[in-house]
Amino acid sequence: MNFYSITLDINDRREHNLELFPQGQDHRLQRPKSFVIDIPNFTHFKIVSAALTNDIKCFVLNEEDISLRDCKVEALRDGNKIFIRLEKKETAQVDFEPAIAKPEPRADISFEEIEALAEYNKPKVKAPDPVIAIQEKREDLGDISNQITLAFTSNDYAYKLDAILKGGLSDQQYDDTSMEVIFELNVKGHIYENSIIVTLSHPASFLGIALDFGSESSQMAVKRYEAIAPFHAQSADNENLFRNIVAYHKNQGWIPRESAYDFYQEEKGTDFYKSLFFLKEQLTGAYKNVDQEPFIKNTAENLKMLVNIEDGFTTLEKAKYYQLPNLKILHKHERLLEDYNFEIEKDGYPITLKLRELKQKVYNSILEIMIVSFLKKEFIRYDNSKRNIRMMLLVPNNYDTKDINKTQHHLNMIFEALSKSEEYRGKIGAWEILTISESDASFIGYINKNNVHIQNNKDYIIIDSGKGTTDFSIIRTGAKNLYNLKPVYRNGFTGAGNMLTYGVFETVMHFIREQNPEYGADVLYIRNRIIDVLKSNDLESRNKFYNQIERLKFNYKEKEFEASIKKSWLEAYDGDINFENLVAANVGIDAVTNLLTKVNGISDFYGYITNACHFIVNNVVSYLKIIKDNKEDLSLSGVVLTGRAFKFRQLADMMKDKLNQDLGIPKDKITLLQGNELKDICIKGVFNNSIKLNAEVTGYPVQLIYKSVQDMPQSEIHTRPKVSLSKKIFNFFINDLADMEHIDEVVSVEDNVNFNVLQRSQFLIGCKRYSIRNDEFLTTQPGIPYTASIDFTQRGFVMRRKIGNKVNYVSALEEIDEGGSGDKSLIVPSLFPNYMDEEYIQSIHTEAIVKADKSGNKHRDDYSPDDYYPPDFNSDGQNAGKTTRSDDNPLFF
Amino acid sequence: MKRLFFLFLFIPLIHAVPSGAQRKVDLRIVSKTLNLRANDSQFIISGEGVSDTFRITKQANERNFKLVNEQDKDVISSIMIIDKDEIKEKFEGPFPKIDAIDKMINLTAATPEGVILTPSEDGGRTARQEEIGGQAPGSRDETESINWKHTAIALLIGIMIGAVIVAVAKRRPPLEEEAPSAVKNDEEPNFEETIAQVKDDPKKILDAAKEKISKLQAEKKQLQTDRKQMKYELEQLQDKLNQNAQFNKTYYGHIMKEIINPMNAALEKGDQARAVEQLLKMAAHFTSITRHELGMKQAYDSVNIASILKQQSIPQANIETVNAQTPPDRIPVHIRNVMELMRANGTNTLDNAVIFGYKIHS
Repeated sequence: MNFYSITLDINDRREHNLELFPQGQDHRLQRPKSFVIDIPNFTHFKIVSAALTNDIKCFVLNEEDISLRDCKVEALRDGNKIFIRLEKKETAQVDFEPAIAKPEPRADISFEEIEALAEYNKPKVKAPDPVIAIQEKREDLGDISNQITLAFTSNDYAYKLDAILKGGLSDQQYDDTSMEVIFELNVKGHIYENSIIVTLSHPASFLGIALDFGSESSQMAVKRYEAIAPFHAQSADNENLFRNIVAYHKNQGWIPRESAYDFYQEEKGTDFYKSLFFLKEQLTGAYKNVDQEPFIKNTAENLKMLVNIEDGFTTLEKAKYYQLPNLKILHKHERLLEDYNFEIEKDGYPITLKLRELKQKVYNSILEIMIVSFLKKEFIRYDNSKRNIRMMLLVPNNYDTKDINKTQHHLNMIFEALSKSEEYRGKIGAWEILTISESDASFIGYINKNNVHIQNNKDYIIIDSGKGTTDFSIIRTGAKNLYNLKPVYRNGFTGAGNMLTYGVFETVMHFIREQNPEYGADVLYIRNRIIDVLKSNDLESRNKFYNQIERLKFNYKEKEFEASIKKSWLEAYDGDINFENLVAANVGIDAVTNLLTKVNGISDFYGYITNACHFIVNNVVSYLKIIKDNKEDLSLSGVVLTGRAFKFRQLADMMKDKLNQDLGIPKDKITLLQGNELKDICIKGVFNNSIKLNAEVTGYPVQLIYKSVQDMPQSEIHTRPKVSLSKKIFNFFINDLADMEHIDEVVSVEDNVNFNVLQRSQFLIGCKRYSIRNDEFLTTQPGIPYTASIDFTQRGFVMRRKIGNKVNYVSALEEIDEGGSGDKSLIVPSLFPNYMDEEYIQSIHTEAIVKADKSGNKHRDDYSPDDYYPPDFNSDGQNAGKTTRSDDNPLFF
Repeated sequence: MKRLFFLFLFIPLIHAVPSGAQRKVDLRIVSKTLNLRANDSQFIISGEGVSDTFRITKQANERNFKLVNEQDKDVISSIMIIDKDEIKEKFEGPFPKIDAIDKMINLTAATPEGVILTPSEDGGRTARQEEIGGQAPGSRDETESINWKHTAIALLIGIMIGAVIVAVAKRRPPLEEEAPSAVKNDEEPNFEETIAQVKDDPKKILDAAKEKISKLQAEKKQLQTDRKQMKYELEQLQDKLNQNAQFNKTYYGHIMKEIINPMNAALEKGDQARAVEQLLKMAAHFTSITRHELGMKQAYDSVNIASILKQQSIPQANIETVNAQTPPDRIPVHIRNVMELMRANGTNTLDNAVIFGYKIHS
């Protein structure tokens, strides 16, 4: 590492860390980051600025951070290139006159404030206010088009590159203008540089696209301006993503144009596209280097994004297509599903590929089709038009910087390829790729509507619990400008609404076993007649059964109704079949489904459902509590609950109680979003241009300092409590939370980390834990006062070791692998019913169900909590009595 | 042996059980023989100079019939000059908690051949009076005037004759191991010993006799109740047996006609499509009848049985129909396999046979 990093504000809506490398290095070969600015139809707007409160961070050995205040800054223009040159001054004197009685610069002042005070294009007509007056120096950089003049301004707070409209924006004499803004930093004669590309787009050519690639369903919204002056912004519109994809398939001849099939991917009554994809086992296409190819070849043949409800599934099943498991849930867990083998043939040799090797290609191909299916329509509708696109992709919180960079890179590749293609050449002008956390986006959407209820300079929590994943963020509102948002913390985990459905399924299985204490026959029955069908290709039987489970979930009754609900279950009959004799009768899954239709609701007979709620609630609140307890300035003022899982009232109630109890948030400050708000608020929020957010920064580092071995009691060192697999799910101590029992101290990392205890520290940043494993970094010379800090870079978080102000060493933080079979215990319930693994069905491992007294009566009180957990797993993570067949577990929906 | 002893006591009380299927019931209040019959909608009373029909009904979710018009009970009561207590007693059985006349109607409905009501003999009247402790209406004065000494002596004579029979019976080899009696009373004091002890005191003899009579009356009552219950159960079992025999005859008759004969004919002709059709129907019906016999039938098994029996009212069940036009994705795998089998053999339909809750047509 050998660079400086400067924090820029692009168009007052986005923070970007630009890394300046030694001049001449090959970083310039990479495409500079591109931004699209939709020109607002008023006098002026900012293109890029740098606040003086931000230092230029140094990642060059034996050099130090540079304060922008200590820099001499000048701007030059050469055609469409703007050079902003920064040079560290020998003295700290600024090159413009300070204001009289100049106030101390406020770190949190917004740029709107500065704008409001600045006066362009006219001489001052009154004396400046002695308290708040801002002295500015403005340098005219000339016209960049016939309607826009550029100017470089510096004042006490920031350096800014502004654009000034010479008159009203017309629709005729303006050509979209791209310029390269090059930042050059001169440090002792060494030049460090990098650039960004900024395209000033006429509003009529601007197109904002937001895509939410959901674990259950995906949606798209677009934002545009009116095509005629005065080019008012239109409100964001939802695109019918499903219809677009169908139209694209027909347009491409992938499905017959005259076909009037319905498809599984349609979610009736919505604009959503259900995320159901199938990939062919025997992939066709010539792959030169399969690892480097970003897309699936012969997409139409190999990747099925539309499956008709008539015979689509049966046809694909016969032709050996695999339904792909939920790509979002499987993120980072691909190794857990190694059963899926695909194959390509090259030079006569079959080459086997694992799902994890193909996942990214599939994801990229799907993204491409989603985007292209919309663009195709756009350019059919607006023939011969040109579009400058800002593409915003909502990403889950478990994406780290690496994932975000990779996603952005692939989106860039998609647009690059499209812009060069014959069809779109000249039509796609510039594009900007932006990723944003789903829960952040939800909060932005929420404050768009509810800004009057939101306080300035306060922290808000947003918890988004969907079908498969729960994401949560803490966001701080701006001190002066509410919309000046700062992401304080983000995290997410696998486990949400589907885990509750799985709890209902477990309850049904447990009830069947309890009513049929057949000492093994009950388990055999559940395996053979229920689980095997759920794992099979019997889509109809599976769907009918799953629909009943879902119906019961939505008819959940509180604990006080348990006795009457259970009675109704015991009295339910289908013919002669009831819950007590179905094992003896050995009836099929259809009889179980029919029997379930006879009961009106479910209660939490055995605690599975409550445990699932506990897991979600405790997991969220435990993480939030760590932040609350260790970030001294945290000022939690409200919570927004969103996502479909909160439609399950018990979960929402438990979450409210726990947030109130553990974090002290009053219940009236916890807002539960309902109905259409749930999805809409998230996708449309991202179009708010007032929001300034650095979407790449995934979190705020927290240093976890572990007890040293000397300090730990001997018993703790050698006899670390063994946490059984399912207890990990239902006792809410999973993964890193389980390890935190040995944490001595947790400290927030605002500036410097505690260097002396680095060897026994881990850093929690967002959903990941990191550590420093670089020996050299940790090896220090005695007597020298080292300090260290964690800093965000485009490559992720790094740690800098300093002696005094000088950078002494830079090392990347290494992610701690959270892998292991235990994770599957969260994945399996979250993939239900698309993936079944009987090892992870608690109810069939519960020994207590078959225990009955001499009279044959079973007593609920006889069961100990341990009875509900399966046997521990051996060191390989495999159950000794494993009976799963690995070859018969295809995925369905 | 004790059974023989008490049997002797009740000889005059026992009516001959009618040998036919028609149930005969003695009622002291009817003055002439009445025939009762019931079907699904009518309750008919007929007899000399009497013929009346009443509408009855039974809801789908109920077990018992009841009169459509509740006021008809008064008409029935007036025809029979009925005593509800007696009706309740005579028709007691599987209809607890319902009205006495309703009991009569339901018992009649449960007896396909009908019920004959006949006027009871004096014995019946006396028996009833004894059962209710001599409280028969209008006979109170006579009862009060009973000379207990005479009664006791008469009973003692009866007991002694019984004892002789017992003695004779004792000499005979036992026919079989005696089952414990419902009226067995091991703590009964030895009456002869008691008499011997108090032989000089007629009052004590009378008291002992009274006590003995009281116990015997209780035992008699219990035996009567048991007898009625057993008789009723026997009738029920006979009815059930008859019904089962009738059901089997009808059901398997239809199976023979509808399934087996056509299958044999198809096999003889070499008509594989028809043979497979019949074989699959047979599989469906055999599955249903087996589950029916084992008490494990699913709702659609009742539909199969009803369709074989050509019943007008088909039981309710969730049955779907699939055919060649049904999207394959909407057909469970096992049904698809059956359809494959049919397709492979040129079979188009299984008519009304239900397999796993599905009807399969071409």
